[in-house]
Order: sequence, then structure tokens, then C-alpha cells
Amino acid sequence: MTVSVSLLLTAVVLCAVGGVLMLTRPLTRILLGAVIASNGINLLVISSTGRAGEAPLLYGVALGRVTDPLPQAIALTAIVITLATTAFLLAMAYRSHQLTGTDEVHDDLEDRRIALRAEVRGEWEEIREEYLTESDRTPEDRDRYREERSRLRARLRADRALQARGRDATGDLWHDILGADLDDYPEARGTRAPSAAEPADLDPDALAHDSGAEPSDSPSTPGDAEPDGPDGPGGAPGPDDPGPDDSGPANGSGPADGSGPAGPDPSDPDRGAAG
Amino acid sequence: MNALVPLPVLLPLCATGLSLAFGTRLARFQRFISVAVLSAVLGLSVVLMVAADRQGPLHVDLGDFPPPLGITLVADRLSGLMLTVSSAVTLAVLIYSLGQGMADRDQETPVAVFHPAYLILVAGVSCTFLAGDLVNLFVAFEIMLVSSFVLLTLGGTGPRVRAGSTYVIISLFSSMLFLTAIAMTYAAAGTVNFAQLAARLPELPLGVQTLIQAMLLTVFAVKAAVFPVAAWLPDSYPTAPAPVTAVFAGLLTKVGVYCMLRTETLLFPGNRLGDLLMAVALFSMVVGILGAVAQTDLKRLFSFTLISHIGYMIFGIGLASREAYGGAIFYVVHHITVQTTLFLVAGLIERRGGTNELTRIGGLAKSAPFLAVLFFVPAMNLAGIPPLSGFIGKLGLMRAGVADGSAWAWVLVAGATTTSLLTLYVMAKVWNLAFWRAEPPDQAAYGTVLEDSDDSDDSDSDTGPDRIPGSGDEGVSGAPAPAGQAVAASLHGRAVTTTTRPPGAMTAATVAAVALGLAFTVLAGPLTAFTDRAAAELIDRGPYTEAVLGR
Repeated sequence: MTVSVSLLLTAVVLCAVGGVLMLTRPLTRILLGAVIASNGINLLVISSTGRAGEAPLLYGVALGRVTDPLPQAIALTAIVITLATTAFLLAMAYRSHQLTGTDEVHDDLEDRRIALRAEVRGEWEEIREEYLTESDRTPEDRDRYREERSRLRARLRADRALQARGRDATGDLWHDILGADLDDYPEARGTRAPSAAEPADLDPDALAHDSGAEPSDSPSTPGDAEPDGPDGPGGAPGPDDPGPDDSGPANGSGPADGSGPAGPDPSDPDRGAAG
Repeated sequence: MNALVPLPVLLPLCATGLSLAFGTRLARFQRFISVAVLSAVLGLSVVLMVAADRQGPLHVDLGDFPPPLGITLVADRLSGLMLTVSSAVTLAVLIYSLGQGMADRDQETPVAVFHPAYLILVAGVSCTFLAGDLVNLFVAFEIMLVSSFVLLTLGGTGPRVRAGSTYVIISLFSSMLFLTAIAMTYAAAGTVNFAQLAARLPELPLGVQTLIQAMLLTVFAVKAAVFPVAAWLPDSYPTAPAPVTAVFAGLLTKVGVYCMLRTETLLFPGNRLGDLLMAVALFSMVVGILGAVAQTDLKRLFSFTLISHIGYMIFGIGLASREAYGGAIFYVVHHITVQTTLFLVAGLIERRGGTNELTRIGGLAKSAPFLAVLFFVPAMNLAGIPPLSGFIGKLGLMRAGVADGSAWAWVLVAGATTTSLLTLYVMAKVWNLAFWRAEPPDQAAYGTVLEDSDDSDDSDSDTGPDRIPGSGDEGVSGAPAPAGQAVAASLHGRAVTTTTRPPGAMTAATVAAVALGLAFTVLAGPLTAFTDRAAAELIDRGPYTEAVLGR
């Protein structure tokens, strides 16, 4: 079978361009990428015809010399399907823009949480290692270590608050940060055993630390405990920022960002993530 | 008898037109059309299955064009069985959604889009099972996918649009891969008909064969949500309405498994990539179930068990013996039913307790004992407790693994056992949290109207400068629900009211699905005999190619 090099080259270039566009975040670009890449693949389908021949008509053309019509039929089908999908994606991009003000595809909440936990954990291990291996520990060192540790805990706490708000905006914030602790409910205190509903916590130490705090403090705690700069001995690597428009707990500069992530104001950063 | 073959595709498609035409004015008529058509498809499927079993594969060349040119539809034992199970499940889910829709008074939407989209989905799934060539398979996939896009983003709420975009993008990508694979196959073999490919592919160089096989396997693995390419599933399924998630989880992933079964046996016999398949099967099982262990949201949890149990079927395909294929087919049938049932039950739990978040519900065994039974039976079935069909399926696969005897097969048997135990652990966790423990004090009281994500008390939200709908300048309101969050909402994304008595149709449909799962236990003898015959037919390849190409 002979293949036209120009067709193949065009197909490759189109697929490459489309692929790069599809790796971006805004839905509109993904849509453009999909259109371009599918055009490339349609060319690929057509190039499987082999050498070009005469028009595949039923009469008046020698049957041995016509172009194979089947790949063209396949390509036509694919074009129609791409049209339908494009229309749907356009509608979805518009709807997304309507709802969230942007048509970007945001990270899954859970992915972000796992990434943040891993990051915080790693940072903590690092500073702990540094602190423990230090030969002469001064009180300042200890203070600095503790400060770092509480900063990391505050970040996790802020994240938990964000997650809790996502789970149920009408729920009791304090309840959600700490999990279902029946002791928080005066009417239920002493009548029932503590439930097993506490969310899996990375750090039991932090939980104990939290329990001592006043419930009303909690929303404000994460807000003021967010030094973004790499000031610690572990060299904290800046804010956790999985995406360009991430309005996560430790990023105060997102365009959709309003108040502190755990603040009681409903018109706030989650809107970015809700898209 | 051959003339019946296209009907499971044509009937729902024609009914879609009727449904769209009458949908807005005669909602009752629209519901009647859907139920009648799906019942007819179920009857047809049973007829096709029995006929294919008695007299070998049935086939039809549409437009009477012979195989290389025309579209071929083939119904053999495997297709017949899959059609029967899928139409039974879609009928149950349809009735469930009717119950939910009527309870939520959802019928007065401007365009009644649920029924048409659902019928097209059924047509697409049927077409996949009947497709006799790669291009028709591709078209069937696309029919299925486009309607599933609509169903997944029903109501167009924020979380659904976000979940939908993940799903649409990954589907687009896999479709492109599929089309590339078709182009390669056509360039290499000069045909896309399965029966002709079965004869021509073995003559190709080994490298080309392997390339085509790997491409097709990747495409189907994306559809089936096998481990390395499964991340999209728990991200996009849980936000959809309960019946939609149920039918997606039950059918759409199994369509991928069916395609793998078909292509691995018919086009690429000899099992060259068997070890690779077994490796991904192991990872799917273990990673999936570990993901489920970590979840506290019921729908997400079920999504992860879905990924995990896909691994069992891939295990059977990777072993590639007659017993293994038989076991895999049995497992597909069992899993379609059980997974759908579990998602339907999740919908009932959501309706009863107000949420699917396990940390916030409890005491359902006391307050809703019947619901507890409805959950318990399919949960134990999924975990593979002996008398139930899950046990029979797992036993068949493990026996095939032991009979194979290689080290890999033994590792897989061990992995499958561990997964089964962990599934039991996960189900016990759900049981303890949602049913067995005392009710948490803040559980939504019955009759609570749960706000969904996009109509909240927009007291302090931005209403926008003008309120012209469609101008893109509407008020951005709503309680913040972060991405990937499952929100209790009705079919069209409205608020749900919790009730002590779920609508009768919902319960009846769930009971029917549970009963179907139990029927596989009662009828295990005939069913395993049938799957064994189907596996024999798959391995033989002769009946299929002879039926299509003419004796």
C-alpha cells in the first residue's frame, strides 16, 4: 500500500497541536484541541485508502481503478460524531462559565486533599528530621520547630474545613472539622457512646490539639495561620497550588478568592472549585 | 428469526422520536412508551438468546450489502446473554427513575430530555452487543457516549458540569484512539468486519498484530475503567442522579469488558498479552478496593468497588481458557446486576437519610429495616458469600486460575481472594455506619428539604446586573459545593425531600433488581452451563465466522 506523505504529515501535525491543546485547562481550548485532533485522525483514516484513484462511481469507471470508498465513509461518520460532541462541549463550556465565571476544569476535591496531605506530611518529616539530628538544640530551635509544626497543622485544618463545607454547607462547621463527636452535642452528651464516625485523620496529635480549642475559634484559625513564604528550616515550597486557578486553602491569590477559606461567608473561594 | 436481530437497536431509536414529539405535552404517554419499548426489547433479547443458543449465531447484513461493505449485526450466545441482562437491568432502572421523577415532580421541565436520552443509551448499548464490525462498534460507542453525556449532566448543576467535563474529555480521547486503531486495522487488513479480520489478522506481521491489539485493548480498558486508566470513574459517576449512576456503573463499564472478550477471542486468539492483562487485573482489584476502604461517601465507595471488581473479569480474559472465559462471562452477568442494585439502594438511602455521606447517617436498620435487607443481600452478593452468585462467579474464576497453574495465576488467585475479603470489610463498614449504629444526632429529619447546589437561599449572593437568562450575566448563587462532591439532588438537580416511605416504584424496582441477582443463584446450573457453551463458542470461532461469511 502506498501512503501519501503529505496526508500523514498533516495528520501528525494536527494531532500534535490538538493533543497539546487538550492538555490545557479551559474547556474552550480543550474543545478546539479535540476538533483539531479529530481532523488529524480523520486524515489518518483517509490515508489508509492507499493510492488515490478515480472517483468511486458505480458506472463509467473501471472498478479496479477507483479509490477505496470505505475509509471516506468512516471519516464522514467520524466527522458527524465530532460535530455532535463539539456542540455538547460548547454547551458545557458555556454552562460552566455561567455557573462559575470560568470554563476551566478544576481539580477534584479529593485529589487536592491527598496532594496537600502528602505535601504537608513530607514537609513535616523533613523539619522533624532536621530538628532531631541537630546536635545542639537551642530553645529557639525548639520554638521554631513547634511554630512550623503548628503552621502545618493549621494548613490541614483549613483544608478539613474546606472539605467539610463542601460536604454540607448547612452543617455544623465545628462538627465537620472534627468529625462526629457526640460530646459536642449537649442534648446527646452522656446518653450515647461516641460514634465511630471520625474521619480518618492524618495526625491524631493534631486532633487532640484541635479538641482543646474553642469551637468558635476554628473558622478564623486557618485564615491567619498561613504564612506562604518559605520561612521554615525545611524550606517550605510555597503554597500548594495544583492548578493555575486553584483557590485552595493556602493560596490567597486566586481570582475567585474572597475571604479566608474557612470563613462563614458563602460567596467565597469554593465557587472556583465548584465548577 | 434473523430479521429480529436489528430490533433491539431500532425499537428504542424509533421510540426516541415519539418520545421527543409527545414528551412535553403527554408526560404519561412518554413514560408508557419508554416502559413498553424496554419491555419489548427485553422480550426480544430473551428470544434472541434462546435462538442463538439453539441454532447458532444469527446475523443480518443491513441493506443486504455483503460483509466488507455493509453493516453487520450478529447475535451469538454471548451477545444474547449480555442483551438480556442489560435490558432487564435498564428496565428496572427506568421504573426506578419513573418513581423518583414522579416523586420529585420533575416532569414539567421545558424539554423532557431524560426519556429520549435514556432510550438512545439503550439503543447504543444494544448496538454494541450486536455489532459485527469495528466501525459499527465505534458508532455504537458514540451513540452510547453522547446520550450518557446528556444523562450525566442532567440539570446542569455545577458539580455535574464539572464531573461531566472529566467524563466527556476522557471519552473523547478514547474515541480518538479507537478511530486511530480502526484506521490502522483497515490499512493493515483491508476490512473492519470481525469475521473477515479473524481470518486476515493472523497473516499480518506479529508486530502489527500486537500494535492493533494493544490499541484496541487500551480503548476498551478506558471504557471498562481498568486500573491505570480508571481515575475518571470515581471522579465523574457519583454526582449524577442515582438511577443514571446505577445504569452507568452496571452497563457502560461492562460494555468495555464485553468488547475485550469479543476481540481477544475472535481477533487475537493465542493470548499473547495475557500476562499484561493479568497484571492490570491484579492492580485493578487491589488498588480499587483499597480506594473503597478509604471512602466515606457511599456512591464514591461503590465506584471504587466497581473498579476493583472489573479486575475479576479481566483476570478471566487474561487466563484465556474455556473455564476462565465462562467464569468471566458469568461474573459480568452477576456484576451488572449487583452493582446496579447497590447504586439503586444508595439512591434509596440518600432519599431516606438525606445524604450518602456515611459519617452523617446511621440507625437505618432500626428505622428502615426493609431498606437494610435490600442493601444487605446485594452487598453480601458482591463480597461473594457462598450461596450467592458472587461466590459462584469468583469460584469459577479461581478454579480456572488454579487449573492454569502458572505462578502468575496463583498470584492472581491470591489477589482475588484478598480483594473479596476486603470487599466484605468495606461492606461491613457501610453496614456498621449506615445501618447498625445509633442514629447521629444531626441526621436530617424526615421531610427535610435538602438544598442542592444551585438553588439556595440566595440572600446574600450576587444577582447580577441584569437577570436576563442566557445572557451569561445571571447571578452566581448557591452554597459552595466543591468539585467532585456528590450532592443529594433529584434527576434534574433540584432539591430532594427526605421521606420515611420511598416511592413505591423505586422500592419495587430495587426489589426486582435484588431478585434478579438472587435468580442467578437459583438458576446457577443452567446459567453456568450457558456461559460454558458461550465460552466454547468464543474459543471455537468457527460458528461466528461461518454464520457471518456464509457456509
